[in-house]
Amino acid sequence: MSEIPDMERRLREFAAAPDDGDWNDVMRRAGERLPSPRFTRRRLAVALAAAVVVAGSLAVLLPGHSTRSSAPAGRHGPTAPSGPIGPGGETHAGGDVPQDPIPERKISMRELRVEAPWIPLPDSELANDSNAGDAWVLDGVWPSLSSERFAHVYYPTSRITLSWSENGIGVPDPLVINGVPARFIPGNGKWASLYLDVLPTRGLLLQGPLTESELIAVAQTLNTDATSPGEPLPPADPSTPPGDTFNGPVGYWWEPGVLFHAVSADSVAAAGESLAFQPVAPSALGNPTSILQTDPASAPASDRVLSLRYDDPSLGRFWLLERPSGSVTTSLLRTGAYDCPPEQPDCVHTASMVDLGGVSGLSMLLGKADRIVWVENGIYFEVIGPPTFFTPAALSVAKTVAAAAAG
Amino acid sequence: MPATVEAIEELYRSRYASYRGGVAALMGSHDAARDVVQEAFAQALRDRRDFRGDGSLAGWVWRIAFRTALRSRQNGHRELTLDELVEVAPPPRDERDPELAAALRSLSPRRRLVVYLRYFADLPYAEIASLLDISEGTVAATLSQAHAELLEQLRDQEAVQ
Repeated sequence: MSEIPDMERRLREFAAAPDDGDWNDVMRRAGERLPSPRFTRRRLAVALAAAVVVAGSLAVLLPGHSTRSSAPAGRHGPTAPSGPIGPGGETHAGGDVPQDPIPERKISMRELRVEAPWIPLPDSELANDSNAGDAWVLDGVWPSLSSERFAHVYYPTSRITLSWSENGIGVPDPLVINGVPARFIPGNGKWASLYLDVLPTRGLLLQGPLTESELIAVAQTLNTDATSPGEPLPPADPSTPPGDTFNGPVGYWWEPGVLFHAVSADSVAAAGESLAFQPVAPSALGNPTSILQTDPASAPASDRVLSLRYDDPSLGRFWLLERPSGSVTTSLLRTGAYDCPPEQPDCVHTASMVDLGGVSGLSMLLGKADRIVWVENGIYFEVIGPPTFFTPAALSVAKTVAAAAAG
Repeated sequence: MPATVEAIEELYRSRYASYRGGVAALMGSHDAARDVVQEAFAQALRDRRDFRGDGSLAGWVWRIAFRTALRSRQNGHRELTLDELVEVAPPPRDERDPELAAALRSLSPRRRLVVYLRYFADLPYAEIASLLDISEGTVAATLSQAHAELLEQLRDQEAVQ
């Protein structure tokens, strides 16, 4: 009579599956992780602040993260449960905001600059590397694209918090700071916020108990190069003075893809001499108006990036980025695909695999702009543009590049 | 009552392995099962407002997982049934207990399906009955027959050895 229980035990042992669940992946697939570009500023602030709160909470909970000498404790601190916007109750990590642990690491500013050199950091009296407190990097928010690593830094002297996220703000911005659209949200005596739409898909948030002019002054010192924080990248077109709009012709520090130690190249062929791959620049796209590449003196060939900017008469401005594919594969990109269900009107972001004519790419519609990434012949390609660069244009460019890469 | 993110997350964290094991058995692939389970829970999150609370949340997500699995194995324009899915799925292979794997392969698709739902997906009789549109008594009978057949197969294997 003991045979049946034995059988059941054997069946259950046989059925045991690896417990390798990934709740972050579920959230991402459901569209819960990425903040919607149509979010109101309040909701965006909540999402950003919640992420900071989660990170801060983890810093308390995780072994080795329990000592936060420079971050303030208490309800008014940027990493306190009430969040950087203040104790008004709107920044708690509740409701639909994901609360599962995010792989988060506390690192030094030096490490941050090395690991995530694309993140602009300030060099002002109020906030600089010397008076920076703790910095955290949240890996795995978007694992297939390391350039979208989420990070935040706290400057205890001025109580400024800097947050770098994967999305821009998604609404018109009245300010332009060093060519970057921005918006100031008064803090009413508490935590004021300055949002910078660094790229269509990447945003930076400065918060602190400061005035608008103080925060803007800090933002004006943002740069990605620690060695020369006051200097923008070499202009792609030196004859043109620095512009003051997003669509200006100057290559600023936020030029996509080459945000650190970038230098101009005379031609794609010349750039190719120091790259680890044969660059692709289809003649059908015309001549790029800007050719930037990672300075060969600052990075090994495997880390160098090529950024080609085009100003097409009909398609407008867009960028084609190329870099060694490294560990990024089409399968990995596929894990980032998700679509908004029609019954969720609030959901506007979508990421789908698209056919580029023999190779599949991940098309990300993020409300403001389209972005298509794919891997082909060992090269990671990315087509991205400003808010006026829509899906058909992005797809057309990507197919042209993919065909050229295949040929 | 709509399901909450927290409830779905709790279900995921506490029962993920069961879902994965159950779907893997149905599909004959652990890799495919992982993707199906992830997608199923994502679907549950997206549709959480549709959950009416007239059954268990776990059962509701199981239905989504099965639909996701069936869609992923769609044959032309017609979706497979669970029985057909089991029938076409690669038979289970496991180095840990090859005798039992062989015995499972000898079961009819319907008996194998009920065994999978009971022991791999860890579903109660009532849930299995509801999913397959049969009575709980039929579930019990099918399991009993499957047990008997498995035992017989295993005895035969031992005798051969």
